[in-house]
Amino acid sequence: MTKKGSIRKKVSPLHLLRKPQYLMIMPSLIFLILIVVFPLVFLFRTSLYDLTFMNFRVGAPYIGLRNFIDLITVDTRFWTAIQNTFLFVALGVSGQFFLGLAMAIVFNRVLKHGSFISLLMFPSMVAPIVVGLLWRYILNSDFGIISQLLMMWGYSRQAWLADPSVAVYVLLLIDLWQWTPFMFLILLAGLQAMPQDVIEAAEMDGAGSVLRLFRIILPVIKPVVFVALSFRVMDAFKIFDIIAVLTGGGPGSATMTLSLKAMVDGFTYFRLSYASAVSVLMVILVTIFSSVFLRVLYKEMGTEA
Amino acid sequence: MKKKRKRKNLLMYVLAIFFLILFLIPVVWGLMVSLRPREYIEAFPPVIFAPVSFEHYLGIIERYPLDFYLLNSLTSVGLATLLSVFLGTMAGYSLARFQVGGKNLLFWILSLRILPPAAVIVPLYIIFRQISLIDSITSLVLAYTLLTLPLTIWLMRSFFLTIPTEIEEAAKIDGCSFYKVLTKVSLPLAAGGMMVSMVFCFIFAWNDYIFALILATSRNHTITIGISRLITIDKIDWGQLLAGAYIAAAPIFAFTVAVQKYILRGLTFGFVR
Repeated sequence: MTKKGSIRKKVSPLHLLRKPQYLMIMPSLIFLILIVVFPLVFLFRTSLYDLTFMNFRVGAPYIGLRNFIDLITVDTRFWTAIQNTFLFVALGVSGQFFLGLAMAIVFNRVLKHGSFISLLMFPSMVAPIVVGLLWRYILNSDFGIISQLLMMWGYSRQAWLADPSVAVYVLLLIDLWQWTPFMFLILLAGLQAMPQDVIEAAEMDGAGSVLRLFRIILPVIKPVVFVALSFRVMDAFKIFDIIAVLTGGGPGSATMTLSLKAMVDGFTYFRLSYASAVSVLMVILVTIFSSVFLRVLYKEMGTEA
Repeated sequence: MKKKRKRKNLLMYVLAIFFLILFLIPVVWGLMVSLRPREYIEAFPPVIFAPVSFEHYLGIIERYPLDFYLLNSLTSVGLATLLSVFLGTMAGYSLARFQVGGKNLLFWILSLRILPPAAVIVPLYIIFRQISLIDSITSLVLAYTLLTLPLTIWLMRSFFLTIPTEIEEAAKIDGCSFYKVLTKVSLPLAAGGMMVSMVFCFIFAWNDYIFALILATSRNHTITIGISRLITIDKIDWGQLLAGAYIAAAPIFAFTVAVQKYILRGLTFGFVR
């Protein structure tokens, strides 16, 4: 690999384009710069003003870091949003992982292939909005089956989604229901790729199942685990659809998450600059957390990923 | 020892059935409810079996232009998939074979997957509005390409990395130019990888809600937005809501089952480097 210095000496950028490998990556780079980098810069710039729907055409006043200060000091919903987002990332993903692993182990034993498995993919593969609508029905306090069963058995009607202290956890459970099959599929594939003789040898040597699990299976599927976890963690930050459809961030703002807050501030209240500030902080938070998390995971996994 | 093994297998079977039930019962129940007459939905105490009725499905097809929504979804998602896989394959190839830009560029591109759509949507909305691109299929295509391109690049790079270079070298020695090697040798070998990328692009873009919500506000609704409008402010028609949900879910689920081979391959092969 030639050092950066030597390239700079000889070749001008335009000359680089003659080389096909640079030419091939250019369209993607141009696209990403136009559609990602430029909007992000614009986002940051917008957050320093006070752009709302009302002064959209006229021009917005510059207010510096005021949006950020307001967010951090005055706006309690912001901290709730951060808290909830991390709940989904940490608690949600771990739950999905452990349950998915349990399922993968079970199904690896029982039903290695077959259409049952693809049926199980329904929660993960359909649009999150469909999951949201389905559960909105099931959890409805008048007509949903859970509420009706409770009423039949003499309890008061179920209104978990309207209870600020419980709502988030209900959403976490739905999130678990939705994404565990995804984890399960990846982990199952990893388990199936494992050479059987290693396990059999361990069994014959008298190793108990728990020992087998931790000492043999987990290390072997490490790269798969890494992929599954990093994939889900990155996606968990973005959670939006389910919450928007089921509670809209409520009751109050008990189930608010970062994405939801940015959207609500921006498009319900039309405080575009304020929403931009939320987005900026969200991007910073996500970047920091993801790089730390991935680095730790990478080290743990010890693979080239 | 054998008895222990047998008991353990039985436990596994029971657990397997338990999991199947756990994940499929809500789906099956919702489907059943969508197929029953309105009186039975609102009945209390709840009934398990009710006569079959397609009234909700027919009702929702009449009431909303679902074919229009589906067409919009298909167009925007289809075009975005083609664009994303096209750009991604080319980028993946240069990254895999030539390590263009080194570790830094690679890391930057892959890290774009971290970006939440909600963060980029506010500026995109403002920008698209200024250039009056709002409400067009174009804006959706651009947004969906943005959504999927980092993933596509990652997948295609992984796939190209698994193709040995000897074949390409041999072709080069035989006198093929760079592009000839590419089109005659590399791309056909990566065709499977491209299928996987297309499948994932399609699924993620089709299921999107957030971009379609903001960038296609009044005219070019996609199917995901279409069914979300079933949550009305006054009394919700649950039958129609569920019918709509399943109409929206059916295409993508059928697609998923049909291409499950590719999904599996992508999840294991393409993701694990």
